[in-house]
Amino acid sequence: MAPLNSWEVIEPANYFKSFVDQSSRPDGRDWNTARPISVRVGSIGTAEGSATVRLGNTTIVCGVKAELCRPSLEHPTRGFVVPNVELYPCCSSTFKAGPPGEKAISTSQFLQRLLQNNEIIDYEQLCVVPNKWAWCLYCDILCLDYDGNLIDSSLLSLVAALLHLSLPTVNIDPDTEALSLSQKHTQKLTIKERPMSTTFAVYNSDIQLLDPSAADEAECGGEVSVVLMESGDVCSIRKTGGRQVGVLLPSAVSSGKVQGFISTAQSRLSGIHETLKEALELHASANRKEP
Amino acid sequence: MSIEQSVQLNFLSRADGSAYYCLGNTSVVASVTGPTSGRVSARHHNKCNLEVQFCPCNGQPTIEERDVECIIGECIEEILASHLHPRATILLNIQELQSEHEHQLLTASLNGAVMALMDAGVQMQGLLAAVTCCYTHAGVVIVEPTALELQESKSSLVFVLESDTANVVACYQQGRLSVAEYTAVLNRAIEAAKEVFQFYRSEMLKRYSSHGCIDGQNEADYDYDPL
Repeated sequence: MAPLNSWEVIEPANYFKSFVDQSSRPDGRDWNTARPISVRVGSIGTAEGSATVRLGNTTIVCGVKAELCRPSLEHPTRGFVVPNVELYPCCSSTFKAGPPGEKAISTSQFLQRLLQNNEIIDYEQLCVVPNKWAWCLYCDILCLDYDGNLIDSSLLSLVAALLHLSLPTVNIDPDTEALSLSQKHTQKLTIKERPMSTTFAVYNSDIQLLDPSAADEAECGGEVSVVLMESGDVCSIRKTGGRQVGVLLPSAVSSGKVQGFISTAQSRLSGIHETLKEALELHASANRKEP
Repeated sequence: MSIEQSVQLNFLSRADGSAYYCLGNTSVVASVTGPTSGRVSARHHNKCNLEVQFCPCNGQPTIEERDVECIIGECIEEILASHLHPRATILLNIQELQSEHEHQLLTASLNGAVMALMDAGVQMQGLLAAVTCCYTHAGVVIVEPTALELQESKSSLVFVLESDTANVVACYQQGRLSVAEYTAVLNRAIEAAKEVFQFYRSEMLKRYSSHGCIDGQNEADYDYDPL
């Protein structure tokens, strides 16, 4: 008998279906089980804010680099936050070197819009001198190991890194208007809300898989990401179309299903927030020990 | 209130199918070429490749336009009977002419693209209608809002719905809503999508009745409820 592995390679769809038929997935989880999450903040010493998130095998590092720049003319009292997702070939063979691919672009754009449209960050707090100086936070979200569910992991790493962020105090010489930065990074950014995402991969109109791995994503049509605030309010629902052949609209979901997604996401919310809080407390207590 | 929309099919002479679609103050031209031969590197052995090009009305395409291309491509691939044309490429070009706001631009681009594909006679498994809705602070759902209405609203959403069962193919939301509010917007979007499907139907009837294929007088004979 040929090894199980060659079945997976020759007939991936059939292989995957045999698991789904047994209410399971190739990695052993059932449809509604998420992978364990681990969060660590302050993992990069040279960045102003940083976090590492692991979601099963998916590993994301987010580093926030703060630079002083000129505010835009439209909003002279607001700073900038620029999330940028990088998917290098080392994290998965599906990504190629060169300019950012579709997935990286759409994830970056999604995060950017999420921050801008929900008053999550106080952009005014990032302004140092109106019309002259404001902080620009470059949030580089780097995928080290890609095993599915980029949206959830990158959003969690971004929020954790922004919570960890501390900016140096800016001193302005009143006569020369020259800037000097204090060596101590003390100024914390106020994060008004902590959005958390829960992603489902749509296998067909009846079966949706929570927290899809890369193998699940490859066999499923579209994905639904439900982003909720801590209060349980729907912050954003993002549903992408799928890319499948020959099956009539496999990834379209009925409006009733959408409610199911929201309630599943709400039930997961407290666990994720707990993990994040623990990571922040752990970092804070470690800092107290070695001043 | 009905959605303000108009279309001119077969607008471009060199494309296999095209549509000049206006939605409110937004207008786009969508053109379809194919199924044709494409880049060898982009060929699939079991399905056709869909290439979406989105051109903004000024400047070079940026990362935002690439994102719009991704969204449109993912949605259109969902309805395309792509297994019928293995190794082929379908090119979809969308040119923005003017736009009210980014949501309406996405909505108009998608609807225009679907109409251009219909005009080109590309086989599809269903139709899509995109609808922009916004939810005001007063609790009113506005379909196809203007930029001003959007600015004053609490949340804005783009739904892409499918013709057969009114299922949600794609959804993009900005601004927070409670679950009940979300449901209200979704239900309103489904109503609005019906109107868009009816519009597709009447426009296609017009197009083919002028060619003498379908007698426009007997429209009732071909009556078909899209939802």
